[in-house]
Amino acid sequence: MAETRLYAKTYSDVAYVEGMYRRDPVMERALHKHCKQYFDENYRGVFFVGDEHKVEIFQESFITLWEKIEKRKIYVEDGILKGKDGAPFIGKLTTYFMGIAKLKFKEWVRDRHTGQDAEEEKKRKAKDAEIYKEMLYDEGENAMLEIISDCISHMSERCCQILTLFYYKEKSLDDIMLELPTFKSKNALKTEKYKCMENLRKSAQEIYHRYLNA
Amino acid sequence: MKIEFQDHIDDYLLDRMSDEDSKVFEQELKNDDELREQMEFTKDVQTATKSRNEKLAKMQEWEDDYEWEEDRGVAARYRPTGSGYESCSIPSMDQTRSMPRFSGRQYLYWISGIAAIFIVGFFLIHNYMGGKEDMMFNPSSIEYSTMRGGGNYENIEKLLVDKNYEDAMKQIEIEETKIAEQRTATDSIADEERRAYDRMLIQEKADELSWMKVYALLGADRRDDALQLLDELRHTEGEYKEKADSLYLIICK
Repeated sequence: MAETRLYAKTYSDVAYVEGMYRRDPVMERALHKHCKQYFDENYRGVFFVGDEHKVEIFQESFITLWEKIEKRKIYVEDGILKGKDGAPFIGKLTTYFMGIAKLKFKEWVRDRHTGQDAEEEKKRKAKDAEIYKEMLYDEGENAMLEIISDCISHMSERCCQILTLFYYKEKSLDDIMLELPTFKSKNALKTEKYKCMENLRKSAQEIYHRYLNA
Repeated sequence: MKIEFQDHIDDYLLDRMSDEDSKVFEQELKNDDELREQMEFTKDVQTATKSRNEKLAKMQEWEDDYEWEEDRGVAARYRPTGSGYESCSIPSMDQTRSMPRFSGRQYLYWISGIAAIFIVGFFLIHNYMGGKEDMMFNPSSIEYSTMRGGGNYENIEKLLVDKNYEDAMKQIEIEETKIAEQRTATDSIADEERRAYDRMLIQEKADELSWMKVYALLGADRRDDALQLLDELRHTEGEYKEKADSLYLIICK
């Protein structure tokens, strides 16, 4: 008991991860708040971005962290927080979270600054590959799922709407047409949905080969 | 990817296929690698979309409750995609509701704020007008430390740090008695808002004392008593709710 802090302001990292894995709503919310506060206080030291995009980067980073805990890429064993390859976690969970946020920021910049010099782009990708493998995409049976999750966050607005309504809300094409009246026919909607899926698949496969099969 | 496969795959994944058709489709899956690969991909898209949107819905709900994002400056809302600001809004989605929710705590803060304005206003008017005979209440009925919120328990804290748990317990019990007296004193306050405000401050002190008592009990090897108190604290709204829950889980583990 002597190690327990007298006036701990937050939960321990172990408690957060265990709680999130158990889907404890109190812990889910507590970790979100903890990360949000840490992010707000520290993001300026890591990258520079306006307020509205700050929210977007936080959102993407927290979802990634959450999914990593759900998939036991970060987990607790014998009271010890462990990460990739079962190695004990080095540093705080919030530090790790900021590492994810930094990568998400890089992706955000990349999405908005196309047309760079091809050679420069190639060098940069090679440099990032190891970091991406370490933090975002793990080699393993769920690698493709992780990559798809990430690609969905970069989809166009229209594709996002269609796939969300179809696969999350489980709406029929007829119902989706009512919500998205720009589609004049069911076939047009069906074709658009297929194109979204096809583009998503291409992006995911490109990332898979770039980072995991390089 | 073949567009002609997609309808069947979607119907199968979304349970829109009859049992008979499902069996035929499953047989096709076994024999066709390309179909199977497309099926796996679609399944991943479905899983990822659901996971993402469920999380976004929860995050949106939490955001509505937070008050600490004062520096945000924009009415940023969570979007199902990272592409573009306010870009992917779907009006019928539950998680994108726009009306802010007010929790009980927020109402309490409002009441406390209004009460504080009344109290400060009273003292200002009283000082400027210079009249003593029109004093509305007697501040001595409640100690100064209560009025400013939170207890001044440095002596107890020091005893705990020095591992003098028995003396700490005695001090805590003395303070608990004082708090009980203060609670009684608030009953006589006529002004409803002020009464609520004072009670809130007293409750904060009581919670702080309980938190210290937990450590005193643990130090005095009274684990069961400490756990019982922690259990009460973690079920009580307030500053120590989360801390108590965390400590309770650590001890019980």
